[in-house]
Amino acid sequence: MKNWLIGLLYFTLTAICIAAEVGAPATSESISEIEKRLEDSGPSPQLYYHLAVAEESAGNIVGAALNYQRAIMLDPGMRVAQNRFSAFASQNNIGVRPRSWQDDVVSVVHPETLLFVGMLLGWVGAIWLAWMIFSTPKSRWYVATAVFVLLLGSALFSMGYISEPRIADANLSIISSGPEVKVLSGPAENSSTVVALTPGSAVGVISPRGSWTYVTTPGGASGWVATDRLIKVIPDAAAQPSEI
Amino acid sequence: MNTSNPFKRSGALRTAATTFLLLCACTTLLHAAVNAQLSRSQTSVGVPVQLLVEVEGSTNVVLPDVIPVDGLQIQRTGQQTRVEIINFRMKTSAVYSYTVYPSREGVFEIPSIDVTVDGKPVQTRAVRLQVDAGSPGVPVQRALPVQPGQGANPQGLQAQSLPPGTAAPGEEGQLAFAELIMPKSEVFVGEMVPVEVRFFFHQGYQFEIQGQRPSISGEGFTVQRLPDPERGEQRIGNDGYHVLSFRTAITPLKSGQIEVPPVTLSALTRVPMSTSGNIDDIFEQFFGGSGFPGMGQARELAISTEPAQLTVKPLPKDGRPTNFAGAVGNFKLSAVAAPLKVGAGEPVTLTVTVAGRGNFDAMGDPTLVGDQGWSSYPPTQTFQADDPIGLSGEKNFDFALVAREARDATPGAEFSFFNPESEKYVTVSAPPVAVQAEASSAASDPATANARPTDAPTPGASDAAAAPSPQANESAGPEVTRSFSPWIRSGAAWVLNGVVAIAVMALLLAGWIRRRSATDAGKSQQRKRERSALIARAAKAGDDQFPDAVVAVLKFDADSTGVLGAWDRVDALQSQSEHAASAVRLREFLSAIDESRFSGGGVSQSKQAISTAKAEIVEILKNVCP
Repeated sequence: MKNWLIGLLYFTLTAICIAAEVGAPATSESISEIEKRLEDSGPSPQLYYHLAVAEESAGNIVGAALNYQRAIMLDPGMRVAQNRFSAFASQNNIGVRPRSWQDDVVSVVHPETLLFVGMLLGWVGAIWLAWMIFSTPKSRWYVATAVFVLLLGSALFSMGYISEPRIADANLSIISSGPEVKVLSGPAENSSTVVALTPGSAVGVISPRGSWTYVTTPGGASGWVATDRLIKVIPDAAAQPSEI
Repeated sequence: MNTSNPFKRSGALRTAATTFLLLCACTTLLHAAVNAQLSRSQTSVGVPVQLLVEVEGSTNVVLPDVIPVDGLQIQRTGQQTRVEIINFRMKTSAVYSYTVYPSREGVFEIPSIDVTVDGKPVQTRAVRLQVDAGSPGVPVQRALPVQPGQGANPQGLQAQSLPPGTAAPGEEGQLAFAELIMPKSEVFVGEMVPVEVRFFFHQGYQFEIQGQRPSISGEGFTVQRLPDPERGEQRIGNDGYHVLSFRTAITPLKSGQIEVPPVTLSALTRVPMSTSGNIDDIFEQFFGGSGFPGMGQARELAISTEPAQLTVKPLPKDGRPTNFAGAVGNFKLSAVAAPLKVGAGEPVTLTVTVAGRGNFDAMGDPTLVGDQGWSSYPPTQTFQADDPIGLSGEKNFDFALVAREARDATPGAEFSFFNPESEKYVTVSAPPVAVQAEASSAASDPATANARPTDAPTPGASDAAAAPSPQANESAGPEVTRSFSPWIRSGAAWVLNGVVAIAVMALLLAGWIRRRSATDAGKSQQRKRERSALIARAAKAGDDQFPDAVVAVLKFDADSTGVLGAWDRVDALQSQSEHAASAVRLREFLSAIDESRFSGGGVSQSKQAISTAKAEIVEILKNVCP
């Protein structure tokens, strides 16, 4: 009896470990179950990706776009999410932020790695340089090396900071479900239309002003949209899942 | 309002990036740009125009002297070098001018010019020149000449109209006059009409132009911005005239009869005061028409053209293509694509170029044809003008295309316009460009192929949706949890960086203190050496020099301790219990010195006292070191 119980416990623990390692939701999981897991575990790029794929399968364009954006924001190196989102956006004529050199950087090196290594090198260079300033005799070679390490660290840190999507795209929002949204030249219904955006398109929020928000579109135009048609890519409470 | 564009990252971030890029590479500053432009894009047979080739960033330029074009004689005639310093950055540019002399009518394309800049070959873009058969001076709109004796106000001007169609712009002897030149009087709605306004000023008088440039405004048409005028000279009969020529273009917006109102330029001049005819004759004989320099009456002239009439015909409705979007003129279409081979989901840029002559401002986008399997986005536009008023040039439309399916060619492009010469609509097309584009991963991925979105989401569908495929799960990797707030903005990161920053500051402070201490100790040693030298000098001094040597030591000590003189130093010593006795002895010694110097009697006793106390005083000085 005791051996049987031990065996059952071992089997259960092994199954839990495997499930945690693979991290894949069970095939029978529904969107609501993924959302529940997000609530329980907190933001996860993999869960957001699974949620986006499920939303895409269900035909929820806005939900899919939002969760693809969140997955990529949390893990900019997740190529599978980038590829699927690129194809999804082109199929549905969704405006997305133009790809920049920062995206190329973070798809190779995670911005947190750049930030950490840059910070480390920067401080090492700074301490080294401070030591060299007052030490005698001075070696020009050592001083030059300290300056180089300091500059290299600063450069890597700056690159990581610029490329970190959670900082750079902190004001990104998605057009919510419904009819096409007109970006207006002024914060009034009778203003002229600058451009029309399909639901799911990403806009950069510049200045919220009550019921109207001044935004930039993926094409570079600027204008006003109704605030209630915008969904923040970074949720107000980071642990919250999609609020579609 | 915060106008930062989150798509283009914040200003602070951009500054950091710029700093980094400047640290890494300064070579981009050395980039040279080459541009070619005609002084006017339309002329007549026998009337030369200028082709200007501007090279920015270098003056080490090699250009051909002659450009062979059938029907045109193009020869290099001049060069100007310009150096500007803007925001502490020096910008050099050289403008090479060619004279283009048309020998027959037609539309000519001046090909790309091979320019060698700093040893590197660069090409200008091709520009087009339309050469008409007629004279450029006809038809001439009537002008308002001003006679030398006429008043300043426009009401006082007696309009003396030139006969319409006259080639000569003014009559002999006029002080100033203007003319408006348009190549045609019947145009279509939307057709850009080049306009030239010429102001003639008699060379026998001095003129000062008032205000800026003239303005053309009126109802029913728009006007391009007036560029800087061209200056020239012209002889009419026996009189020479300075000519200011403004070139622009107007675009009618509605059909019917529209009027181009008078174009006015104000100028100030000085005309001879009215005197008797005989005196005038004398001045005429000696000084010409203007009398004494500086003499005469200041007159303000308002030099105006006469209003011009333009008949505007509506665009025909018959034969109007469905994709016609307002372009009026004569255009050609071409297309190129880049890159020619792309992977799944990667965009191809199809650049469709509309080149020619017409209303580039008002034209719509070309349309893509045969774009099945492609997703396209609204194009971005760039325009390069061949002339200062933008009548001729080329406009590029960059379409971003993403292949939904594997494709071996881009879509073709079509562009429709109305040609006012033939009075017909024309549709030009550019063929598809061969490319290799892979299908986007979503289309090739069976998981997504089954998950194509429907036109409208079904209510409640999300909960009932199928879960992602196992393939997708494996690709996504193991599940990890991350915060939407990066750790660099967390409290722990601030604390960590703060601690290290404090450590660095402490290190710098410790080093500074150490260096300063080392410096203070060195100074102290130096003072000790100097004091020892003074005492040694006192010990070796004779009886006469000894008092001064002792005073020198005491003054040195006074400087070191911040008191004024030898007596003060002794007072200070007396306040210290361990040196009180020494101070008393030193005071007696100093009194003896003063006595020996200033007292009439007992001098020999004082000198003797000094002599006997020498060894004792030296010993005291050694012991009272501050």
